[in-house]
Amino acid sequence: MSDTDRDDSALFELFFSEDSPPLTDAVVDAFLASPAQATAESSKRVMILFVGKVLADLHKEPIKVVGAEPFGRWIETVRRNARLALADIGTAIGRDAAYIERLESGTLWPWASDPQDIARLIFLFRLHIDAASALIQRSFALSKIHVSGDVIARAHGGRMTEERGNSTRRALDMFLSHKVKAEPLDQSINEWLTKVRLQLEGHGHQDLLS
Amino acid sequence: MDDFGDPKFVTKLIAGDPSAFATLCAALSRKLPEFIVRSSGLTYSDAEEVASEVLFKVHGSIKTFKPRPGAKVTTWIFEIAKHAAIDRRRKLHSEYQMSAAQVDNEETQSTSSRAQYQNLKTPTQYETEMLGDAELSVGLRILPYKKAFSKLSERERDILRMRYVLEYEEISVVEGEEVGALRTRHSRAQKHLRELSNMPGGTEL
Repeated sequence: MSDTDRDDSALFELFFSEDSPPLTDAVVDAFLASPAQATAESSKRVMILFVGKVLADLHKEPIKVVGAEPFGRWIETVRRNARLALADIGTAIGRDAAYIERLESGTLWPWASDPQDIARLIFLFRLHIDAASALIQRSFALSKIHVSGDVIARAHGGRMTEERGNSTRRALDMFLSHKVKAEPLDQSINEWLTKVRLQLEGHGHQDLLS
Repeated sequence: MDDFGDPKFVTKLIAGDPSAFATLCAALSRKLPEFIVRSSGLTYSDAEEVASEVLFKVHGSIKTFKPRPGAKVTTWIFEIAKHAAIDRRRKLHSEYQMSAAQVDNEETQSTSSRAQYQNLKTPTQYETEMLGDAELSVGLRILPYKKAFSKLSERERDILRMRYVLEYEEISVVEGEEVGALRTRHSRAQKHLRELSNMPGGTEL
């Protein structure tokens, strides 16, 4: 290595080593404001990896035991515990936040979704297929008596808010889900579940199937 | 780009508001990989892995974030990214050395294992010399440059660091200065740094 190369190497280290001076707001702000950025595909891969790490950290082993809640509400509970936004989950499975919101709230039942999307969710949330099936069974039972329309609730302060309404709707779903009698799944839903299982098999997620 | 320095936004982040973190992620998931690639020379694939690790670390520790005076939360995150990228490079280099040693010890190699070995990221001469036995002396080796850098004006330090991760055209968009003026500013800062550190001239930073 020549002296010149050695100088260049030292300058590289000046900016990129444990001993380099800390970054400043000016430099980071300039980078953030500049057009320099990775592609949307690259960004998506980062989000998939990030969300996967958060959820895997929460549940290191596949979840085999679940409560009596419907599928969407279970997803919502775990997502909230993980402090992830609807958009985070949506990005990680290639859908938008509105899709996840509809799934969580029961506006969209899981069997009305593409089996591939639900398989991705099941994989992301480390949910064993037996547990997923139990949650879907609860969703199915709840779908038979689902309350239609928006729930409006009044907070202690007397103000009606969407958030309060959603919270009440969630509580109502959980209550009904615990009370409702389990019903055998329709043939079409069983076939749909088989497709979900095949998706998981196809991607080699044996730990969620065995 | 959102103002991530807004105290209200930072308060929401520290409180663990998922929507605030999602806003941050939406921006940083595109910026961090690019920053890591440009500053460390890692591949995009490695940079994406490092960026996701950084977001994961930040997500887990944001509640303990205590802003230091003059440093935004984004600066804190980019500093974490810088160190995570350094760790990744070190790990890759270590893996390369182990693989190379393994290959040396094997008398016969299959075509596939040889190809796998050849596909490993090959360290540059710089990496071999700088991250090898001389690793412990990095701090000492860059000390003159570090001292010289600290003596530069803030404006000089900024242009040197910006140029390290941004093209002149990109800096021009942010700084509102002509590319020619930026080149002059950078050249002067570079010359000043060399004078202060007694570096030989003539090399491009």
